[in-house]
This record gives sequence, C-alpha cells and structure tokens, in this order.
Amino acid sequence: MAQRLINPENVHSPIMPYSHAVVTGDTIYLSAQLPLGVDGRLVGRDDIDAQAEQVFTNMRNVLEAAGAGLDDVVKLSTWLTSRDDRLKVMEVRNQFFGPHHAPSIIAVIDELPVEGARLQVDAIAVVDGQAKASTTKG
Amino acid sequence: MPIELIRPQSIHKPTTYYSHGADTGDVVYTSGQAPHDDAGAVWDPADLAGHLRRPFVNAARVLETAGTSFGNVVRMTILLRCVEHIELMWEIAIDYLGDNRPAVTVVTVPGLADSKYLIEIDAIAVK
Repeated sequence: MAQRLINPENVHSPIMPYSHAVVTGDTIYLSAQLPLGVDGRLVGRDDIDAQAEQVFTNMRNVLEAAGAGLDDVVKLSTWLTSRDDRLKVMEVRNQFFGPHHAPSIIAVIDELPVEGARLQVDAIAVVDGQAKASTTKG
Repeated sequence: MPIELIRPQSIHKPTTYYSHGADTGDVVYTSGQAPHDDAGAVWDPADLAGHLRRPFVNAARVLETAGTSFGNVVRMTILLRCVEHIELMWEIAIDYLGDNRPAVTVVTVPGLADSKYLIEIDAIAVK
C-alpha cells in the first residue's frame, strides 16, 4: 500500500532518522511529539504547561499536514518523567482536544530522548476516506 | 477479518503466551522483539552492538514470514534501558530501514521483560 511521509515545515526537523508521521490509506501513524520548537530547541524547561502546549501544537501541525486534525485521533500514548505532571498535561490536552476524548495510555518513565523534556506523546489517527494531500517537506 | 498469527521457525520460540506477529491482511503487527539469539538465549549485553542489533534481526524475520519487510514499516516503538544507546541503536536501525523513515517513538524505561534486556522493539507494517 502506498505510504506518504509527513514532515511539515512548521514543526522541527525530526531529531533522528524518522518521520513525524506516515500516512497509509486512512490511517496516520505519528511519531512521539516532543516539546521542541520549530528550531529544534527545547521549549519551556521546567515548565510543564509550556512543554505540553508545544507537544500538542506539534501534533496538531503534523496531523494537519497529513490532512487530518486532533478530532481524528483514535489512540494517544503519553510518557511523563513525573507523575506529578499528569493533571497539568491532561488540562493542556483537554484545551487542544476539547470533547474528543481519545483512548489513551500514560506511563511514567525515567528519561526521554531529549534532555530536559518532561513529556512526549504519540498518536494514531484515522480519517474518513483517503487522507488529503498537503504540503510537506519530507 | 481473518487474522494469521506469525510464529516463524527462523527465530526463537515466544518466551510466554504470545505470537511474534499478527497478519491482518494489509497490516502486520509484531510483538516486542527482544535481543534473543536463534536458540532463545539473551545476547550477551557486553556485546552491545550485537545485543542492540538482535531485535532487528528477529523483527526482520517476523516481517519476512508475514510477507513484508522493514521497508513497509509505518510505525515502530523502541524501548531502551539507557538513553546513551540511542545513537548506536539508530545506526543499526538504518541498516534495516534503508531509506524508509517511519513514525517512531523511542522511550527509555527502567525495566524490560527480562532484566538482561537493554532493548525491545515492535513494529507495524502495511503491505
């Protein structure tokens, strides 16, 4: 089946040799989104709200580049370096997702691939019909 | 939809009650692939490169048995015990992915299914 790689201009370049998302048919698989600005630098060191806002902004931008939106997410996986951040992250997530309460898993871990990052979130989304083409650089 | 469970003869038997993969027709899901040799022993972590490579060897065989390959992988989860291993892991991953750049989530975790594991990977491929 044809695959399309998604690496939008308004999200930092992937930090390693992967793509931000792959579209195959109706399904969009997202890599874990990190709290990195478009310049690739950590956003909001020690500020979980700012980090969460960046993560979900990146997720929204990647989904939009794939012709989808946050409403199309069917599964979220969230990794936190501190359980104490959970409620704040959920509040930020709720601001982005509104009433679309997607299935979710949360795990607390010791470290993330980027020093200073306190969360990463990945997603699977499904669109009704073929995902629309959009601008990508990947 | 019929689901074919994948249990290749070319790699170790599953360590517990699972299959190495499931083929739904277009989509192939693999279990977490661990650093086992063909006989089922854990690859010596002192040989770090060999240890990190082993899950990719096993995953490649699972995918091949299901009629696909790393070139068709759309998503991977890579679990590492040590974030310091990420660069070497990627060098190995590229040997298998070639030009493919799937969606990937890398997580460092305090423990895996066996205390000697330093890595575990799973993958979703679309034929």
